[in-house]
Amino acid sequence: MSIWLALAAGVVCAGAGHGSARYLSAREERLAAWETGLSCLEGMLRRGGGELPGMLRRAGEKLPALLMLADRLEQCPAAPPERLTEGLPRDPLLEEKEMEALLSCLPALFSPDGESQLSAVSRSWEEAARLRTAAREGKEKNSRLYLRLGYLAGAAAFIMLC
Amino acid sequence: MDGCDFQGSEKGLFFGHKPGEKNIPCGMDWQLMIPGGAGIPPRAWAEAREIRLRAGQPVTVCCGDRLEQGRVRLTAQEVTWAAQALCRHGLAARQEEMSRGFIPLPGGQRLGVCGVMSGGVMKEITSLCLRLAREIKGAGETVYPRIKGQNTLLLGPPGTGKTTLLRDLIRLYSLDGLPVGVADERGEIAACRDGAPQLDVGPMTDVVTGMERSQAFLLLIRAMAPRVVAADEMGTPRDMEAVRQAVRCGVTVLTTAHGASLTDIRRRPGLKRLLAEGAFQRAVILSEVGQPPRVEALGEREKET
Repeated sequence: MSIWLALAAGVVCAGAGHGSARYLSAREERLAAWETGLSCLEGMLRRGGGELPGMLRRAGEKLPALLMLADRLEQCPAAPPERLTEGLPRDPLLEEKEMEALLSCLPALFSPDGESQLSAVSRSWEEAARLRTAAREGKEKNSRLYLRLGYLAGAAAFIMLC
Repeated sequence: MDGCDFQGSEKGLFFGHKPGEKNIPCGMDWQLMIPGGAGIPPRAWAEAREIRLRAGQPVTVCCGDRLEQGRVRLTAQEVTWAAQALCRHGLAARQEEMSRGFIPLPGGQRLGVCGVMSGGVMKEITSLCLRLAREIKGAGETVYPRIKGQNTLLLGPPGTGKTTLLRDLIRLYSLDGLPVGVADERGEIAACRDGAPQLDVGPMTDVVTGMERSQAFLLLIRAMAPRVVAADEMGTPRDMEAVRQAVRCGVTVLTTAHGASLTDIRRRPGLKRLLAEGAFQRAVILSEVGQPPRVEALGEREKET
């Protein structure tokens, strides 16, 4: 009985280590998706822009917040920008302040001035690139550490409980 | 959207952001993208020819001979939101059109834009004028047999339906199998969007949009071999010269001019000279909304004048 318990404890600890490593990878992937989406939006604006719902759909293929904003623009085009952008879905893998930084360009998208739109989206894109770089460095630094800690903790739990 | 109040109305959905605040209409129908519309009766929307939004003023709906106004004054932001909504939030991509002063919209509507320009870019919109296209098929049926094949000038004060009549005459010529060329500088006649006319100008009609009228006339004559060329509001010396060239090429000309009567037109040197040269054989005079147009034969009388 105690050997099974020890084995289970070992697996749980190793699993926690794997889970933490996967979390770091998943965060980096989400930030990469944001970087790509904002880059796509920036490119479209640089080339002259177009109707905002269409641009958001193309840029936001993997970004639910942008897709929801595109839907709202089509359903309620005359609603004020603050209502259109309130309550957009957050990414569960990203912190609130990271989401705020990534979505900070949205109010400028309602401006009639293309330059304002472009500069706001460029800033958000740069921020996304910076966050992704930080996430990648964190993943490279800590991912193996969490894996090893998980294995070590698992082995220690197994030994202690046996 | 979660937490929003939707009120049904006979015109569709209205989106109110909080109780007591101004209703901002929404919906795919252009009528519902105009903020501050509360208080304007539904009949006014149906009869509207022009809708004006100005910062600091209530929305105004012009229905021919009467005006209807909303109850609340609009802010500059609301005027800008309305412009964005009408352009499907693509205003920034339409700066060139804004700098010309108007944006063609789906359905043949035309949005006039006025505001604060800086460095050639419209930074803030303070006034909008939404002109609504009226397509009335059959408007020209009584006139067409009397002007067919004759160079014709459609006259009338603003708002009397010259463009509506012009459009239908173009359609009738086209249905008769005659190739028609239309110089549609401001996109009001055919309202082309993505290359296709949104208003019915007939199956044999070629449209040039966005090009200066006189140039477009000559391009059409050289490139498209029309039997009829048409344009709205020709009045500049270049326009007059283009009409002369068209007449010399044997192409039937159909155009409009502002003026309540032939007497009015004869006070304008360019048109007076064209009339004296016998360039036009017919004048169609529109006097009031709802009144049938009057067709007058020109030619000999003008030469004698």
